[in-house]
Amino acid sequence: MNAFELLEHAGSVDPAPDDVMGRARRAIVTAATQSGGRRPWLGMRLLDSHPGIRAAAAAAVLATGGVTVWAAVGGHTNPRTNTTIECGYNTYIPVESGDPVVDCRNVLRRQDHQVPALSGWITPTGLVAVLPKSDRPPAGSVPLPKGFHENGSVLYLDDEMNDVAAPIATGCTSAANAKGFASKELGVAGLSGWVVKVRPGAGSCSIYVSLTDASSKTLTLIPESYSSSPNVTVSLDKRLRSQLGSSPDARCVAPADAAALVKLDARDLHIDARSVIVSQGGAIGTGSPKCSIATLDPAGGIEVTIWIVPGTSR
Amino acid sequence: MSRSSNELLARSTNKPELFVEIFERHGQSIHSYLVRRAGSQQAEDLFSEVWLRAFKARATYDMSRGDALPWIYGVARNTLRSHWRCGTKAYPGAHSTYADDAPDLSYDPWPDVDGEMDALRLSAALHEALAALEPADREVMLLSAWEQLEPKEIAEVLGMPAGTVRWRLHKARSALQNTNVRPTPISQEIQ
Repeated sequence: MNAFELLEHAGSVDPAPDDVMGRARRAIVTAATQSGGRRPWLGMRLLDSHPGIRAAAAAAVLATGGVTVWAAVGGHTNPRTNTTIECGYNTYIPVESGDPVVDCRNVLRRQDHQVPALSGWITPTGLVAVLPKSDRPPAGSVPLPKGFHENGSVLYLDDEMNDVAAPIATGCTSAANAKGFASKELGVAGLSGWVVKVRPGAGSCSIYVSLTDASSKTLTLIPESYSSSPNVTVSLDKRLRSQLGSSPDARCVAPADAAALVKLDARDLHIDARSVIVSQGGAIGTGSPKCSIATLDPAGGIEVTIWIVPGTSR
Repeated sequence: MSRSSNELLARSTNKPELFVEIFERHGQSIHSYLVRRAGSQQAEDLFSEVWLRAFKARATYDMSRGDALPWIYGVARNTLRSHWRCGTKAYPGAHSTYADDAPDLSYDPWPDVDGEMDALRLSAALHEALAALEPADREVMLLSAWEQLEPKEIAEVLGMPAGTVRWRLHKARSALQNTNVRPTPISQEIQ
């Protein structure tokens, strides 16, 4: 063996483990979901306006051992929650008309605020902010494109499919089951004409992350190897699912009661209240009764979004 | 017909989900590159960061380049460089500059790479011969031997003309040619 052959031989290494590939893939999927200027389901939060809350939330998650496969984006502080509009500063409102500026204006009017002229921006982190025209947006922001429309059903679908404790993400699931869950959630969201695709590569014990593409009406399920990572965020999510979802003990409650329940559960789990941000996602789908469910953001702090969905279909 | 990596990368600017396909194609290669230079544990920590950096910087990719893989190696190399320089393996914050794909040949990471090569059981003579190479020659040599890159691709990773790469590769090969390359016997390792 000559020097070059030996050098080549010395450079052979084992393939990347599945969990390492999975974490990186999830980080890219998360980043892809948050970005893309032309995509209509961009985030509706102006994180830059409340760094203190973000820091407290992140610190709380880290302090409670919340570094998991779900938080694969690590210090990437941009959360995946794409479901609430920040209207002005620290005011979160649900999607109503789909136009962030119109929705923000309506909420402020209902609150008897003197409503200034507003403008919408996409921040460098791919999120959307609605601010008074006189305020400077975060550096690098671009104006919200004309005709930008927020589709609450698509936001719900994306949140639910990638929720930290969604049924397809908490244990071994077959491709057929994952597809069934996706189809059911499309029904809950009232979205028709969508195609569910499953990427090849599922093992005997796979979980699934999802790519939501509203432009092609395609939901792509990507199998990943299962890695059990119990932490306080997952605990809170599972608890809320048992109380608000389709479990036998679940209750059909109003959004305000659901938000109160989140705070109570967080307290029981010894989670610092400052680390939990509760937002209203709005009502989606058709049918009755209308019940609240909660989805949790997998990255950053603990962000809970309360959705109102047709109770009978869950 | 499947799209080329550079076409996928260019199109991922407007369709970010396409970037996942690039990851599927080249993820293993980049992981191996990191393991060979930083070890398995550090590679695990840096792997996601490399891909997030590449994702964030994809708009800076020049479509006129050949395949996208050398560009991604360049991102991985700069991520390693930051890691070695800062002595931190933390992920960059949301406000970090990701579009940092300009190569920097002024920094010699050899001591770190060499530490990992101990685990690869090269002969002492080959260790010495590699250490004696100019940093740029050694970098070219390792990209050729380990990543199996062509001179043109190495040129893209390092941001130098392909002719310079060929010349450096020739120099490095000549220097290593007469090295006693026998691996270290196991009995000597135990002692």
